[in-house]
Amino acid sequence: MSFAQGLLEALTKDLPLLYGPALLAVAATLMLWPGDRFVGRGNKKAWAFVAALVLLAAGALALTAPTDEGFNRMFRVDGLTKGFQALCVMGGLITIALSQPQLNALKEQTVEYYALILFSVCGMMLLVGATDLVSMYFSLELMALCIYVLVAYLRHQERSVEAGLKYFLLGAFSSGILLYGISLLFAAAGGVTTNLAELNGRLALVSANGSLLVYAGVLMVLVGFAFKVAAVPFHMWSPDAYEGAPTPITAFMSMAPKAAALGAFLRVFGTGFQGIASDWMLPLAYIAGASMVLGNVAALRQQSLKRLLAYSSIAHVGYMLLGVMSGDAQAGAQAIWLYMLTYLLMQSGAFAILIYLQGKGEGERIDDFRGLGRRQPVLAFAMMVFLLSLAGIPPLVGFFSKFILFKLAIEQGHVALTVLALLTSAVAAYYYLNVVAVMYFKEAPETERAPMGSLATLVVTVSCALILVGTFFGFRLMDWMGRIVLG
Amino acid sequence: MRGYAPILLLFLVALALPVIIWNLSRLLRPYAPSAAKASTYECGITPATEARDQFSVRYYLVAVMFLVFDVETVFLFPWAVQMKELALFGLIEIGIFLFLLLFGYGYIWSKGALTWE
Amino acid sequence: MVPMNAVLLLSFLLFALGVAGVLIRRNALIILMCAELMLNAANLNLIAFARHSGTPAGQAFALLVMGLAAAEVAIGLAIVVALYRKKDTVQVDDINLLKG
Repeated sequence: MSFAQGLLEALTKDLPLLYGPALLAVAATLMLWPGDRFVGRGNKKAWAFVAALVLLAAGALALTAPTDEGFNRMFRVDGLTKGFQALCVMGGLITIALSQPQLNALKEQTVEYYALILFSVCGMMLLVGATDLVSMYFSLELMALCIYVLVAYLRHQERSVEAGLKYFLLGAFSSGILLYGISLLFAAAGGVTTNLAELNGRLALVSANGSLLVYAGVLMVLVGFAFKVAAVPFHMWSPDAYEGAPTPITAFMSMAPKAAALGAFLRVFGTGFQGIASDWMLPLAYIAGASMVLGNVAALRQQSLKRLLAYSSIAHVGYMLLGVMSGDAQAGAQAIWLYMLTYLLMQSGAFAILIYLQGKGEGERIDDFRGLGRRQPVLAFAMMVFLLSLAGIPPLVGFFSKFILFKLAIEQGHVALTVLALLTSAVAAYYYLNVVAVMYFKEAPETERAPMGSLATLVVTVSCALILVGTFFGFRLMDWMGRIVLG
Repeated sequence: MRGYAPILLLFLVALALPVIIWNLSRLLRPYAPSAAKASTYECGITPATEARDQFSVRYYLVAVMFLVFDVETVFLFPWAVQMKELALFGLIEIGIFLFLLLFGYGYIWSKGALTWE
Repeated sequence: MVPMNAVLLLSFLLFALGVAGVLIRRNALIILMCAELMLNAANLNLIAFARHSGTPAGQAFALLVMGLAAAEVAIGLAIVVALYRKKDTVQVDDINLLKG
């Protein structure tokens, strides 16, 4: 192929697939240097504004990208890619909105903070579209490396650095396991390809003879992914990292990387390794079941709301893994996407309120919510909506997303797991309702009122409104959205 | 596998040699320890501090940055091997890669990470 | 030609050494080194099987992994140094503010 042809093809066919993530990477680089030189040190809001604009633009570019495969079949844009990319961008935007109070309190310049968020969202956007083990592994690492730094970002707080180190060490460990699993699969398939579709075909042939290599490899890849989405028994890092990280980053970690990792989970296991499903289905079922049980039971005895949300997010991941196990990849993707979307709304609202209370020196402990119903009725009502929806209590939107997921699981024959999911959901309702009860039925000494930041108010209002809208339109709306975005 | 037999032999000899020499000298040498003998040898001068010394934290910073930029050259290697076949397209791509590295360099420079106070 | 099973055995030993190190050692720096060892075990597989099949994909993968490993070490060292400045220790047993 001549030079001109190659260049033309790269520019017209491959590059448009990546406009969104590429914009993020370029913008974040330019922000660090030389952009950093031109913006005054006192001007902290400017970078938040720029980063939010860049994210919005990247989201728009990603949604309008052509549906195609490119870069030697390493990256693919389809409904799954677009849907989960949108979730990651939303997660990034919400994080930037919630970060304002905490960053204003910092003395240092904060351009790195936004650049890291942009880089990690870039990694996530690449991850959900990756159709090759190479591109998948490196985008996963781009995402993870940025988040390690973000967790340890408050380097003058021991807690933050400790959480960063713990998360980093376990993350590096898990990425080693993941890569070794990949190398085993590569070896088992004869060492000729890392493309998911091709690997699937080759591995299915090898696996039919009961190959230990394939089995070990796919199990290790499963473990690597389970670490990233914090599923039991590979969840140990998550409560500590959640508690120690700056709270907006905790919100970020519970939304965007989870969405991206689940998207990749779907891509790799739901569609990629379908041919060797018998090798990973049972272990995945155990992981999902253990996550539901342990996540919910451990959340019961948490005193800190941050830790409670961490453990409950483990349980939510357990539910979403039901969708990965679905034999119908399309329906599974839709169910997980809807679940993740509603989860994002509820989680962002709950974290916005948590950050607001933290700004007043309260908010981490559940006891700090005492009397919130009397002191700030509107805020307490919003919090109640978020918590009840997280618990999946009808008729709120969290119920619909759970229902769609569980219905699919039953249809696919995972009856025992679904029953387990229902039972543990009841446990979950207890600890979410407990917080609501504390807000409304426990007295608390009067504390001063502080105004809530405008961006945080926006996040709470929008999430609450969307949840209520979703509640009124229910199934029909969700079904329609799932088909429009992922169809 | 037969071709590897000499290497195995070499390996065994290499293992045995230090063990033999160390034990032999232990048997032959006189035993007379003294304070001067046990102290650290520092060109004949009395040692001022302990041999274990802390590096400045700055050193780690520079070392980490060196590490990153050093290992990036690993990506030049495959290009250098295939330079002729990759032709102009490869040259431009590697140019873009090096150009991107420049931004990282500009960033650490502007942050003052390269100045040793 | 070295038989492929020998390569797999060697890489598995390296990998097991890395895993054991991460699980047993309590010094954050050594844990980091062991995690890198795991990456290199995978690299060995990738390179050997790519060479075996005569295709370059695995070798390119291994080169990229080396670059990634450097980035990971850089970030890990930065976090360890930040912690050392606060606590004067790199032993993970002393890292106990957050209890899981």
